Amino acid sequence: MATEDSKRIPPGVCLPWEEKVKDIGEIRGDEDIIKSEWEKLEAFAYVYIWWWVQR
Amino acid sequence: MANQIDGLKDALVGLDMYKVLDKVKAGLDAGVAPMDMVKDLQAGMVEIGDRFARGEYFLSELIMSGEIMKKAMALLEPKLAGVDQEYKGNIVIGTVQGDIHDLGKNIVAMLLKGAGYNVIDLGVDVPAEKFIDAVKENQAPLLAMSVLLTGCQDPMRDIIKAVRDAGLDVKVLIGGNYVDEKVKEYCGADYFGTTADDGVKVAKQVFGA
Amino acid sequence: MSDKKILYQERLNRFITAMDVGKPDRVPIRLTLSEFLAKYAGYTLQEIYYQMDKNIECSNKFIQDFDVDTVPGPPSLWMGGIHDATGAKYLKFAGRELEKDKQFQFLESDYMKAEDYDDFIANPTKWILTTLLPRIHTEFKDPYRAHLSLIKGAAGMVMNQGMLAEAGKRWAEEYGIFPPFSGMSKAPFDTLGDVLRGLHGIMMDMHLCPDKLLAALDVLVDHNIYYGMATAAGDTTLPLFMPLHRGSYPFLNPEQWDKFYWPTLKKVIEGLWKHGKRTLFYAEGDWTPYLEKIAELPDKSIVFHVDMTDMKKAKEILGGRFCLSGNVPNTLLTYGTPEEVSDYCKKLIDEVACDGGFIMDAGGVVQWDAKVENVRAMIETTLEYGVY
Ligand code: B12
Repeated sequence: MATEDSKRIPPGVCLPWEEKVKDIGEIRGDEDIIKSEWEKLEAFAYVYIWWWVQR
Repeated sequence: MANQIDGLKDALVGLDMYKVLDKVKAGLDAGVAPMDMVKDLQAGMVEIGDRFARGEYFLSELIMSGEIMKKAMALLEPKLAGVDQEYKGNIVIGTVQGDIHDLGKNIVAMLLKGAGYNVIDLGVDVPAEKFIDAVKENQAPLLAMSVLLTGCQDPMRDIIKAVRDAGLDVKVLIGGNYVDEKVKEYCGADYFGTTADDGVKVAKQVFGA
Repeated sequence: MSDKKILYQERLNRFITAMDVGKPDRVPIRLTLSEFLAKYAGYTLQEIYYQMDKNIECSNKFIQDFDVDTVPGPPSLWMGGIHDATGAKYLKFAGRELEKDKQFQFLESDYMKAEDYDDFIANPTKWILTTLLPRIHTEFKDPYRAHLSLIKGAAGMVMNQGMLAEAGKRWAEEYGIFPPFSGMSKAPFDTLGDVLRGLHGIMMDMHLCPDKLLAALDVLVDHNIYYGMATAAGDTTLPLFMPLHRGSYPFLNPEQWDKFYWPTLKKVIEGLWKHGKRTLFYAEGDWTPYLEKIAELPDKSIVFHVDMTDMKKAKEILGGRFCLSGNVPNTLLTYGTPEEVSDYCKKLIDEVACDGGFIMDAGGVVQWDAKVENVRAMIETTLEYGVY
């Protein structure tokens, strides 16, 4: 169970940055900028998806 | 032969689904009259209703027993064709127009069925005409209506008025969480109930059985 | 400071003081009005379910006419257009398949099957998007329509939220008033029991697959905390709205309540409280048998709302540590006279609000059946008689 739990994707995330970053490959500028914008939209998508069941 | 179904009632009261279904299957295989099994199961439902009334059982037990009952009846019903069920009488039930809360109504219907009445369940969002037609068609002496939304109590009053205007000789029972003496008076019903077993109590009065 | 700003601060202080179980200058008034507002403002139910501007206008009209401490409504949370964009199979709307002034209808079912538990537990977000949404919406039948429906649904959500945010600003600036809560979340048992497994499904699960049910409830804890904070946009001044459904008496037997309902709900409330977020424990129905358990929560972490719960016991067990609200019976608002309503409110003020920590409200959500003069009586009595 423990390993499964640690693999679990945390709330607020649909597609983790760690996975996305693999697709991007080499990042020549500031990774944090790209990451934080990615995560903002992640959070939005997350809330939108869960809205359908939280009511 | 009867020992095939010994404990059927208790298995239902104990909410042991697999045991109930095994016993019903064993009973059918051994040629036990399906009607006898139905009677045992009904006795179980009555016991469950009593336990609910005494506060020993909760909605979860009522719902679980209802589901078990449904599964058991699915096995029994095909074998019941041609056998005349004896009912204590016909009761029409439904949730009034505009309201779709049906959990309470379903439980009331289930206990009434369990107590041996023939229950005609019209579902939810039921308009006056549908109630009137069903009462006429089944010559039902008792019409039970469920209403959860206070906003649907006024339409319920109109429905009851329409039933009376149609000249039907039927007693009207209403129930739901916000239903009380005041609502009963306002809507012109004969009886009101706030718990599932109230339905059975009133039916006993109306049918004398 | 402008008059409106002063009024805003006064109301906010009053509301917060009561939630902190203190004695403000008078008993605050929060009204949970739904379809009542549409009727009061003269809109059809179709208009408020579909048109956000009219939905918001209902609240505006009410706060222009009445002196209450928080904005009631807007009456509809439903956004009909979004449900058409996705083709919701589980909702019927006024003006679509229902007459234009009829209450919307939700068709309850086990939209999530018992077989879905494993996938749900492994990755609920993915499961909702890839399995549930296509299952319960008609617009997912081909990729073109499916993608469209997701774009439109999300866009509709943003537009509506934007309008609500605008309204929030206007309420503050022009009327000196704020909504009664920010953000919403649920008890994990209700998340599963309401929209996913349905009542029958979840009741069966307690008997037939309790371990999976418990695992799913556990998974939901962090999600429900996060969802609450996210929908509140981080605000911790106002409480979070949590309508509580399947935990009322007599749904579950005491062992089931202790095992399935309470532990994860408690964790969600405590988790929110760690973020400084208080929960409006909107206890629909009767919660009397569970008051002792609820008292285990950290002081002030909830506002306990009373619908059919025994108010005297609630006060006895929770009073002093938690703010209480509600309890004016909805049937009284419909069938009673203004004098009766006024008497009831006075009794609440004398017996419950006397030591502070109380907010005036109806027991349940107020629908169109309530009489305007009774709502007025409730407000006026509190304004006059509720002064400390
Ligand atoms: C579950 C629920 C729902 C489910 C219903 C699912 C379904 N298939 O039934 C959903 C989510 C769909 C729902 C929707 C809505 N609901 Co609702 N819902 C509830 C809730 C939480 C529980 C009701 C319930 O099922 N109880 C369990 C059953 C078994 O109990 P019961 O219905 O009371 O029945 C018992 C007795 O009343 C009695 N009884 C019932 N009928 C009859 C009939 C007879 C003849 C007899 C003798 C006895 C009897 O016996 C039953 C068993 O003991 C209540 C709050 C509460 N705790 O009561 C709100 C509540 C009823 N809902 C409410 C509202 C407002 C709504 C909505 C308008 C949405 C909203 N704005 O929140 C919609 C309306 C949709 C519509 N058109 O009807 C309000 C009504 C307020 C009011 N002024 O009337 C309530 C009271 C919540 C609140 N406190 O505000 N709801």
